[in-house]
Amino acid sequence: MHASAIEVEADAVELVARSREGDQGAFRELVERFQGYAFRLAFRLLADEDEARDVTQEAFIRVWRHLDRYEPRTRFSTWMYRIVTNLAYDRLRAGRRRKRVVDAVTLDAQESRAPDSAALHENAELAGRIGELVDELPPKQRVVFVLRDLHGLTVQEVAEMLNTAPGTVKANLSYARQKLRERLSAAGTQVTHKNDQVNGTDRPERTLREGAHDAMQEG
Amino acid sequence: MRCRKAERLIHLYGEGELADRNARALRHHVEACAPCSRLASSMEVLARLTGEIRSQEPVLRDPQRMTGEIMAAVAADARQRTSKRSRTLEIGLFARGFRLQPVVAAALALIVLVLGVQEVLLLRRLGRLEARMAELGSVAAVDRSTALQTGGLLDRELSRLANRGVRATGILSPRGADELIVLRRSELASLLASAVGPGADPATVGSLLTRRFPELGTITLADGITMDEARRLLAYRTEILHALRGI
Repeated sequence: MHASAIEVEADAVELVARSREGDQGAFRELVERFQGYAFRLAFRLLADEDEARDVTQEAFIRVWRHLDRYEPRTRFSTWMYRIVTNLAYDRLRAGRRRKRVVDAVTLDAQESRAPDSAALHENAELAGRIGELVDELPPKQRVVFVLRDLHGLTVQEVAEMLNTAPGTVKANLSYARQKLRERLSAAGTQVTHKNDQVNGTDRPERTLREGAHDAMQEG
Repeated sequence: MRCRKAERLIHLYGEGELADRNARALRHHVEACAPCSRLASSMEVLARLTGEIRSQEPVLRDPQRMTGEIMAAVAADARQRTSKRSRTLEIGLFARGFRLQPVVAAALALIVLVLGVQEVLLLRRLGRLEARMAELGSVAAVDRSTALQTGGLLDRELSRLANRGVRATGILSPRGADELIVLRRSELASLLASAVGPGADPATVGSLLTRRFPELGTITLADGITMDEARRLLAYRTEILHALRGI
């Protein structure tokens, strides 16, 4: 898990315990602390800001209702992520539902009045990029791919999140990457070119050789 | 290593995804094999792209609003759980021996589904609604203070809907409401059960609708709501609310 997530994790168990006793102040603290993480995960999974907000809210309400099921040996963030992932997965499986239509209607209306229209715009652009990449993957492959490659969890963490075996995760990951790689190859140099333009200052990314090298170093 | 295996492994390039031995063998193979080397390069294009996307963080806009909305729902849930009186109020609609006409239940359910909101759902000036609902054999009231409390939530929901381009003002008007009837999505199941019998599900509602409003065409709702259905139901919502307004 991310280092920053570990920091905010410190007394989460205590906050959960107090929330369970009905302490809404404690629960508010949990919400404030974790809503950003939940939202970013939901956003990447769904590639849609509105849906991500909905899922984030739904997830916390579910957390609140099921506090008694929380198992303190699990990190709170893991539990939270799992709920977010399940909700998002359900939505993906149910089909895209009202999404794109609503987007088209709302962006115009929002753009003029939103005070943080820069962030709105960035979110829309990012959602577009993610959607363009993963929209055609079947839900399960999409979820695995997003968790691993776009959200940066390890295979082990993804497996834990989905309550499945690491081997299954790897298989789905491999299919997803293969599909996307083939599509990118087909699109050819345009894609590379476009990305260079969009994000020229980006940090360098792990390559196959570096990845393999790291794997060797670990051993 | 053979190309076929190399191909499979190339797609598992990331940290901890390959055993050392495989990683080493793969590297040797890729260095020596032109087609696999090209494959590896195209994998790097994907890796670069995902890296870029990963480094771009979605921004949670207006986090206070998010917290506020969650806490409003939590507070409502807590009230529901701890206060017997409020529980009675909230399930009053179904617990007084009334049975909702299936079509009314479906209409309520659909307003819930179509608006896609979590907490709200229906509010009317109680007098009007009462008259209408009494005719159908079902009515519920909440007291004024609950109505006002819930009104705050509704206001927020309405502005959220407005932000999403759903024009709700004029149809749902909490400021004008003396009292409210509020349904939660989670209560939908019990609502449907009381209306059309145990085990009622959205599919049942869908077929009820199809029968009652043939002009809508076939509505299934079995697996959530499709965009096409949503569009048709929006038209239906207008019709329902129009009927209510005309009382």
